[in-house]
Amino acid sequence: MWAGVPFPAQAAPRPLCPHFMWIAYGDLSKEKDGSLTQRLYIKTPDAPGPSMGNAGNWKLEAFYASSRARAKGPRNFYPVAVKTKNGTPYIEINSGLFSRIELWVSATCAERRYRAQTVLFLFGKSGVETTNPSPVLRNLELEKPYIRLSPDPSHYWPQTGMTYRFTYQGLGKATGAAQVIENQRHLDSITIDPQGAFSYTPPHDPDLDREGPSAYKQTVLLVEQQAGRETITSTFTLLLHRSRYGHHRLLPGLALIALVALAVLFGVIRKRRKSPF
Amino acid sequence: MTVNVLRLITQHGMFLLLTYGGRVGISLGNALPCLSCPYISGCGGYCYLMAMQSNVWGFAMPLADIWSARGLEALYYLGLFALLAALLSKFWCGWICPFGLIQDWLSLLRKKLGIREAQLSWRNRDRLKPIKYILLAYLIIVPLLIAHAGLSPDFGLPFCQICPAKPIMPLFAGITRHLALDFTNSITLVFSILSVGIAAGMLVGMFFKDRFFCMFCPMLVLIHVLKKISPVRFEKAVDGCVGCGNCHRLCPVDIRDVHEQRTQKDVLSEDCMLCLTCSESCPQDEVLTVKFFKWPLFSSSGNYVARPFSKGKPLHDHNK
Repeated sequence: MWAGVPFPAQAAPRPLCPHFMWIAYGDLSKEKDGSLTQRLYIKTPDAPGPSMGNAGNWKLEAFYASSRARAKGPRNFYPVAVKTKNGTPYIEINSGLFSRIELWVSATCAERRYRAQTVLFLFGKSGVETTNPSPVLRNLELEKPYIRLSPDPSHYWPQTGMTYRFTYQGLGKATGAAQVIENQRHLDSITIDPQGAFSYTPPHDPDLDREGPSAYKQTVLLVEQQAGRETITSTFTLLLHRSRYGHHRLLPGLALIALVALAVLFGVIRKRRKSPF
Repeated sequence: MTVNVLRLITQHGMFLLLTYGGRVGISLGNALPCLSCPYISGCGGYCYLMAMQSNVWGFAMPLADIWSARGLEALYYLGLFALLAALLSKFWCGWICPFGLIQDWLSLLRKKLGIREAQLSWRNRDRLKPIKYILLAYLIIVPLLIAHAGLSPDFGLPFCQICPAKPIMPLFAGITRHLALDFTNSITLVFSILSVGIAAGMLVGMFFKDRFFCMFCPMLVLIHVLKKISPVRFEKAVDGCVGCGNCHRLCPVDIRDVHEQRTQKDVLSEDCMLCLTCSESCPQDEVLTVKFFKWPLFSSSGNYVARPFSKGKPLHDHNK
């Protein structure tokens, strides 16, 4: 049983490069013009290892593709600047529309290659798609490896209990499983089929259920692959809210309706029998 | 064609538009002064009460957002609501509100079954009157507490959470999930019990009493507040009234004011939904008149009242 065990194990020997890289959601700021800016940090596990403080050394590159939520077809990716705060690289994505934004970050360290991805939805209201577009276009879907989340109209508000279908496009055959990591703890392993497809249904989380509908948690899916001498790790961060309808129970609701309706009906009939009119 | 038939046709047309309009790309926005339930997927427009309570355009908006584009947007929706509510006044209730039509359907069913309407004493009516003001205060205060006093966001949209339209209206789009109890946490469970319980009680109430929910509807208060600036006028020529009492007897919401008013010509009262049943049943020429600015839309007339009798049926078979 992996649950609850720090990942990677604290006792691991000090590595030259971190095990993997992932995107962590930061603050969401509402701008005066009605647009939204999402800050996203690029992180590595807290286990002993080199910090990503100097983004240049890691050849950190970040790209995003923005589209209307249900747009289909090939997407162009735009480079986005990687800044650093307190030794942690971060990215800021701004949108003034209801946008589905795919974010891809890549880095290298010695013989390790890293890819970190996420899909975020911004409900901007300025009417301007984004304030930081760059003219350079690049189709990253030709640059493997990557994890692709199959789009679904319900993804605009990702929740626990929903099934997310992914495809891993690796350089060769992927290792047999994708790892599920939450708060740097390994939660689960998911088998990847020979075509690279796998799916994950995050379980309901009592902590999220107690908090408000906007509360969220971050879950990272990690796929690791060996390609010759190179080790490639790809992660995909899911921002999960509590389930909207997963705890709804129809039968008790219908029983309550019948009970109340009968009680009121009985009350009305009783009152009318007593009334002279 | 009688006014009543015209009203029924309009109500059904608006019901289709507001319930299914979104499915054909029609959206009348978020500022409608009627209970056009936003919980219907593919509805044609949203009830303003939802916007009023939300953290996007309403009282739950953080202070920092007020002086931003979001604040301007909230102001725009408030202005649009005021314009729409002033422009058509209580016609929204009697002619457009989809939840009003549901109540009229239930009343019609009761009449077809030959069951007489339940009567409320004036004392009880007066006791129930403040409820709509309490609900209005509730839907303003709770979002403010969420935004500024740290109340749990699970109290969000507090009126929608107990509005009987929420479980009932989505059924017309095949959505049953709002009839369910929500076991996410204790707050959602209490709200879902209240929602389902109130909807069940209201359904029975609406069956036995015409427009039962309208007695509690906070939208009625909001529309009435804008009466002074509305071009819609409902006037009584007090000198011509013979005091027959038809207007009072046939009123679906039991308004006495039209009958009892002896001095002022303005008889558009708070509970009135401008169904015009009183004007249709008034046998005196031009005693009751509904005007848009200075133009009369409909005036009472003896000939109008006599016409159905000449065909052997009363104007309104209310079966009271």
